[in-house]
Amino acid sequence: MTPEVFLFECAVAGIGMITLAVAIAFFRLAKGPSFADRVIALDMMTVAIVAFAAVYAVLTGDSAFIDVVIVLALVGFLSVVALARFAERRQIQISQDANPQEEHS
Amino acid sequence: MSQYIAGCLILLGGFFSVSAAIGLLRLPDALTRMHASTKVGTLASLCMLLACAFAFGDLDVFARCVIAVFFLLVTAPVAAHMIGRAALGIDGLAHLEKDHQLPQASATDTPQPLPHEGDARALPKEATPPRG
Repeated sequence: MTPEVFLFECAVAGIGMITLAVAIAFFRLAKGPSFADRVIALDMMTVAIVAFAAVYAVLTGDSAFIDVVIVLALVGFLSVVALARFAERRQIQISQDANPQEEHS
Repeated sequence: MSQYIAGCLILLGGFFSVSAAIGLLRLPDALTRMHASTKVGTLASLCMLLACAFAFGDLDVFARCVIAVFFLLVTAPVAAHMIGRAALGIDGLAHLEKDHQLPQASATDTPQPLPHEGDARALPKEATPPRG
């Protein structure tokens, strides 16, 4: 087995494992009981797709996919921060709607 | 030789991503699931990008992989902190009260969100000492 064939086989196996991880995370995203579980699953899917792009760069020999990795890490971080802020504000809003007598205006 | 190292790193990263996915599926609540899902952020992506740097063997690709790894390592704690705070506000420590029977916790209390800097109404007004 030449080194190139070994690297190709490992890249195909790695892509298969990352695809399995993304599928399981998508199951948690669809099922997740609370909103935080869905955000966590979405975060993990984004980072798994980052790893997928890195392996795909190895598989195709095209180094332009490393730029995809950097941009996807940035977009994933921003989306997770936005969703976490939204979850906190929605929780505060729900608790204020449930107890309106505690609201000091 | 570098192809063998890169292949082993890819297999290691795939193992970490699958184990993190199993943890995300099987663990009981949001904070422990977050513990599992941060493994794929650090270990799996690090292994894959390091394998990328080894497989290309190029200074250009190596610099971009270092930038991507640095960015992932800087943003992962911030994102985990914000998700954890939101998850704590949503769950309201309900499972901790149920498991450990905290003495001051009653079952009829609605979970209160954590006070943070944007919401001054959640802070108690009497907490500030009088000046002078």
